Amino acid sequence: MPDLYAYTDGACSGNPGPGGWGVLMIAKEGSKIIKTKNLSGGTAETTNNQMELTAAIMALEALAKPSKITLITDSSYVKDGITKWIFGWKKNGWKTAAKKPVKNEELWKRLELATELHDVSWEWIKGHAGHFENEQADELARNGMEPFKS
Amino acid sequence: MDTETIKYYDKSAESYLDKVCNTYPDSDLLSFINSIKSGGTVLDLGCGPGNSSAMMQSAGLNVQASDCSQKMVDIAKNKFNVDAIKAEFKELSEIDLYDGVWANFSLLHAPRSEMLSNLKKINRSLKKKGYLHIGLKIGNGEKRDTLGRQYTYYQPKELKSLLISAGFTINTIRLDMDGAISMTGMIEPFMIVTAYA
Repeated sequence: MPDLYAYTDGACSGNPGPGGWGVLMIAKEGSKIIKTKNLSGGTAETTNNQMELTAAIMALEALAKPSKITLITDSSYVKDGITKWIFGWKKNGWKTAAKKPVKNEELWKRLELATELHDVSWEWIKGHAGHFENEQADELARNGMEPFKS
Repeated sequence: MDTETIKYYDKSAESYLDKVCNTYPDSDLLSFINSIKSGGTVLDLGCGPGNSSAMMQSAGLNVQASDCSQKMVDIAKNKFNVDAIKAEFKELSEIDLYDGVWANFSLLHAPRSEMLSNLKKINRSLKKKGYLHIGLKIGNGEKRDTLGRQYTYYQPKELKSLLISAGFTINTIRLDMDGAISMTGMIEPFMIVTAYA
């Protein structure tokens, strides 16, 4: 079985404003890349965090069968949210520690549902720091946003 | 509609059912269902054997369905108890009726010259702010695949401007440029676009 990696990124012009998301999927055997897949998309009125979340959701929803996958995001919001904060939110009935409603609840629920079908390891890397795959995901996200820019 | 395409679907309706039939809605169908108010009325345009209609019905939606292939319509009615009729896209004459229209890889069988008018008819059939899901293959021109089905391919920009001309506001676009393996064994890029009337 090849190892699967998904580099995800979101982009938003204005916050809120038109936005896009991008996913670069890579299947590797050892250090050899055997397949890559590019996914992208966008919407007219969104936020950067929503697009980061959507990118992760789309990466996992694109998997045809339950898989072991490493998901690499430059959004600490996504990584910390899904690996730490979400447990508290669920316990508090989707309220933050400050008793405010959790933003993007629907997207978090969809992401959680998608993670339950797979064995996901989460990694964070710094964005715009010259990581080749992250730059590609960023470009895909910008392409996804393009049709929605006025 | 292209008669050879209809002939293919009539001939292969039974086996097509085995190929496309999911028990659970995929993420696109789930998003569509979640975008429609509970108990809303939807149209499955180009419903094939009706398995998507059946899943929408289980989710509590009021489903009407149409397809150009009589055999497909028969399966949808008999196997899934779907309110399906044999009709071409251009026969769609409903006004202000649907909360949603699901046109998943169906409109690509109509010629490009009819697309704008088909989209306008869909827009007219939807209530204000009604929701459209459309899936198409990405590419150029019109051609027949090795199974005999006639296809029209679109570029994302072209579909976007057609939808806007037909009165829609685009909600989301998703592009899968590396595509999925189609029934001919070819890997074909596709796009999923959602829009509001």
